[in-house]
Amino acid sequence: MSPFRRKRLIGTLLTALTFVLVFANLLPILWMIWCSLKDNNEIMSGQVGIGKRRSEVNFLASSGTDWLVGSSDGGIARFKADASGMTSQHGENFGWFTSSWAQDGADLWSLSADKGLQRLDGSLAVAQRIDMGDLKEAWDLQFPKLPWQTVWVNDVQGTSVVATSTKVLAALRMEKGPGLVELDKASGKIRFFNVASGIPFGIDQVLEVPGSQGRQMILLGSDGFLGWDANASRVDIAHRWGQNGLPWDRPGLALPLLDNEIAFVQGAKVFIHAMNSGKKMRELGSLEGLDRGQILSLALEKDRLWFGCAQGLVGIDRKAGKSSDSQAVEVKGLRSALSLDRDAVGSELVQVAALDSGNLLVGGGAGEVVHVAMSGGKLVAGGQSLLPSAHFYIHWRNYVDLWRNLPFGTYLKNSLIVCTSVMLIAMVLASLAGYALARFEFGGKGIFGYSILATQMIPGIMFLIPLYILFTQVGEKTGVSIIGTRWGLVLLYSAFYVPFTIWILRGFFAAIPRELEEAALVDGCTPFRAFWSVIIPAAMPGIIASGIYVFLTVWDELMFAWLLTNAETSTIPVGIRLFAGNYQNRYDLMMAAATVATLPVMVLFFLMQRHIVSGLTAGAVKG
Amino acid sequence: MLLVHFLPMVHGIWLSFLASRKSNLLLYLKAPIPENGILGNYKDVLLDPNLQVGMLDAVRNTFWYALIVTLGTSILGLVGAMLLNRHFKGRGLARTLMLFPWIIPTYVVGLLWGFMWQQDSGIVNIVLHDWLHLVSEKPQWLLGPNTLWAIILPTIWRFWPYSMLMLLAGLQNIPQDIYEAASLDGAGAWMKFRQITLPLLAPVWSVLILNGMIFNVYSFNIVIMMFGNGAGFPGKHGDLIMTAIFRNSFQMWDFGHGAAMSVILMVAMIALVVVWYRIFRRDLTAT
Repeated sequence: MSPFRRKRLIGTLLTALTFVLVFANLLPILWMIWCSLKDNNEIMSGQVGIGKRRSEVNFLASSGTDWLVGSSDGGIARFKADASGMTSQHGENFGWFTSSWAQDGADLWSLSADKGLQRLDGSLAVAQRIDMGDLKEAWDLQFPKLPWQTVWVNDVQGTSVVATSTKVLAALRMEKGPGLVELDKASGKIRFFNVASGIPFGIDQVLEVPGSQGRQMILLGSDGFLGWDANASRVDIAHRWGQNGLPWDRPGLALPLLDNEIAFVQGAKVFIHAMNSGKKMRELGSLEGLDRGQILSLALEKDRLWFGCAQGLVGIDRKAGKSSDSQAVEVKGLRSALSLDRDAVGSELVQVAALDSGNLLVGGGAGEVVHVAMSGGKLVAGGQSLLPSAHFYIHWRNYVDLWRNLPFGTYLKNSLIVCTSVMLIAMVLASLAGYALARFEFGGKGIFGYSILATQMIPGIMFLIPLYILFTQVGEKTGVSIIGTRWGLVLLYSAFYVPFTIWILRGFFAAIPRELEEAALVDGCTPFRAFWSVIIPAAMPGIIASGIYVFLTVWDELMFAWLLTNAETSTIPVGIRLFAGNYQNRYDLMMAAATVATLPVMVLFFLMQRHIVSGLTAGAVKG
Repeated sequence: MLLVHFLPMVHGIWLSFLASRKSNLLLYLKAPIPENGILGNYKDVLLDPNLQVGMLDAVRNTFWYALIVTLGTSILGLVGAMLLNRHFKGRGLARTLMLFPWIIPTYVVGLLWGFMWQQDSGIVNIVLHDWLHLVSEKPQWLLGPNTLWAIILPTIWRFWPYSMLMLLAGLQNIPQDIYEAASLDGAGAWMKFRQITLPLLAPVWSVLILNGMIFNVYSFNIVIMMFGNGAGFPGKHGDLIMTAIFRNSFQMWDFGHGAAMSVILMVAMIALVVVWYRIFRRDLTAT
C-alpha cells in the first residue's frame, strides 16, 4: 500500500471515529427526548422502544350479534363470535386518552380528554363531535373561572359517560370543581353542573341505575355519592362517605343494582347498601365464594352478580345473603387464557360484562378479550382475541400534561425576566468597568483587578448563608421582603456575575488598538462619543459572547433561586426540582420537563454559536 | 460592588464562630457562641467523626471528583480537539454536535442521569446487563460506593466539550511551520505530539485546570438533582462539599456549621489558586 493511500485510509477512519464519538456523545440527550415521548409504564418496565400499545379494556357490550370492545386509549373494535372463537372485524381509534364509552341504541358515545365527546354510528364512524373547546364555551358562559385546561388529563379514570334516550351525561374530573356535563341530544344544548350550581360536592363518575330507563343516575365523587334525576336535571339523593354506615373512603368500584341497591367494592369484599337511605344491607366476602383475590370488576346479569377477581371469575346470586343459595363459579384456565401477551404490562382481568345468560366477555389489562360461556354448570374460557387497535404510541401529550400540571409558563417567564435583566446589567456595567480597567490608570487599580478575580474563588454559599440571614432580618425589621422577589434575585446574580464579566471584557478592550480611539479624539469626538461609537462596536463580539455566557449561567443556577424565590417567582430550575420531588415516578413527565428546560438555551446556542465560540476561545488563547 | 461581596464574606466568617440556628435567627449576630468554645463549629466540622456534619466524607469525595473530572475532561477534550483539528467533510457539524452536552443545564444533567442510573429501569443497566451481559446482576448506581462514579461520569460528559473547544482553539493557534521543521529534523508523530503540541498548549491547560478546580469543587446542581428527586441526601459516597454545606445550612438549618465549612472551603480554594498561579505564572505571562 502506498504511503499516500495509507494516509487517506487513516483519515477516513479518523473521520468515522469522530462521528462515532459525536453520536455516543449525543446518546443521553436523545434518550431524554425519546423518553419524554414514551408512556411511563414503558419506561418503568425497562422497555427501550416505543411499544405497540394495547390499553386496558374498559368497555364491553353486545350489539346485535356482534360484541363491541372499547379500551381506555380510545380504541374500539367490533368482534364477531363464531365457532372458532372471535374474529375482529373492525378497529378504530377515537381519541388517545382515557376514553369512556356508552352504548346508545345502535350508536356509541365516546368521551376522551383530547377528542371530546363523539357519537359513533353503527359502522363506527364519527357522526357527531363536540370537542373540548365547545364544552369549554359552555363552561365559560356559566363559570368564567373554569378553564378547560384544568382537566386532569392523566387522572381521569373517573371520567365516564352515559347516554339516555334524550340526553348524554358525562362526568369530568377536573382540578377545580369536577362536575357533570349534560348534552341535550335534540337541541344540542350543553349544560354544566358543579358545586357552584347546586351539586353538594364534586363528582367525577356517572353510572346509570339499571331498570330506570335512563331516568335515574348515580354520581360518584371523592366526597360521596349522589342520585341524579336525569329528567329534571337535579340531585335527588345525597350521601357523604362515612355517613349512614357508608364506607369511610370512596370505594374502589361501585355499581347500582336493581331494587334500590348499590354495591361498593373494597379489596375482596362487597358491601351492598340501600341507595336511598345509604344503609348497609349486607356484605359479600369469602363466605359467599369471593376468595379469588382482589375484585377488579363487576357486572350485573339479571339476578346474578359477576365479579372479575385477580384470580378468576365468580358469579354470585344477587340476593345472596338473604337466601343461602349463593353460587360461585370458577372458570377453568382463565388465568392462562388471559396471558396471551406475556410481554404486555399488567395483563390483569379488568373488565367483565355479562351478555346474556351464562355468556360473558372478559377484558384484560393488555387489550385481551376472552369469551367465557357457561357449559354444563361450569364456565369455560372460549375464544380469545386481542384488541386490534394496537398502535405505536407517541406521547406528545406529556408536554401538554406538563404544562397543565405545572405552572411552567410562570417559571419560564421568571427565568426569562431574571436572565435577561442580569445579562443586560452585566453587559452595561462590565463594559464600563472593563474599559476603565483596560485603559486608565487609577489608584488601587491593581487591588481592584485582583479583588475581582478573588470574588470568583469565594464559594457562592459563602454569600448565600449570610445574605439569607440578612434578608430575613431585613424582612423582619422593615417589612421589605427581598426573599421571594425577582428583583432580589436579579440584584444578587448581578453582583455575582458582573465581576466575572468585567474580567473577560477587560481582555477584549485591551486588545483594541489605542490608535483607533486616539484617531477618533483627534477628529473631534468627546471621550464618551469615542467610547460609544468606536470602542463599543469594536468590542461587540466580546460583549455579546459574555452576555450570552451570563445568560446561560443564570439559566443554570439552582441554589440561590431555590432559597430566594417563592411559588410565584420560581425560575425553571426551582420549578423542575419541585416537580421532580412531587412526581417521583413520573419519569415521562420529568423528561418532558427536562427537554423543555433545555430547549430555549439550545435555540439560543444555535443562533449565537459563532459568537459564543469565538468569545470564549479568544479569552482562553489570548490570556 | 466590593461592598456587596466582601461585607457578606466578613459576615459569614463572623457567623462561623457562632451557634447560629434557625431557632435563634432573630438574634442575628448576637447568637450565642457554641458550647465547645468559640472555635466549636470548626472542631465539630474537622475533628468530630460522630457528628453527622459529613465534612470529611465530602472533602474526600470532592477531591476525587474534582481530580477525576478535570483529568477526564482534559483527556477527552484533547482527543476530541485532535480529531476535529483536521480537514474533513462535516467538520462544522461535528463540532456543533459535540458541543451539545455543554448546553444542557446542569440540573437537567443531574435529573437525566439520575434517571439513567436507575437500577431496574435505567438505560445504563439495561445496556450493561440485558444487552451486553457484562454484569451478572444489575448494579446499584445511586447507592454505595458506585455513587462517586455516578456523579463523575455525567460531569465529565457535561464539561468535556468546553475543554475540547479551548484545546481546539489552542491547537489552531500553533503555527504549522513548527511541525514542518520538526518533520525535517526527523521527528515522528509521537515525538511531535509530546515535544510540540503538549507544551504549546500550556496556557490552555492552565485555564482548564483553574476552571476545573473552581467548577468542580463548587459543583452542586448535578448531585442535588440526581438523588432523591431534587432533595435527597446523596449518601456518604456521593456527597460533595457544596451539598454538605447546603444540607447543613438550609435543610438542618444550622448556619454556624455551614458557615464554618464555607470558610474552610474558601481558604482552601485561595490556597489552591495561589499554588496554581505559582505553577502557571510563566505560561500566563508568556503569551
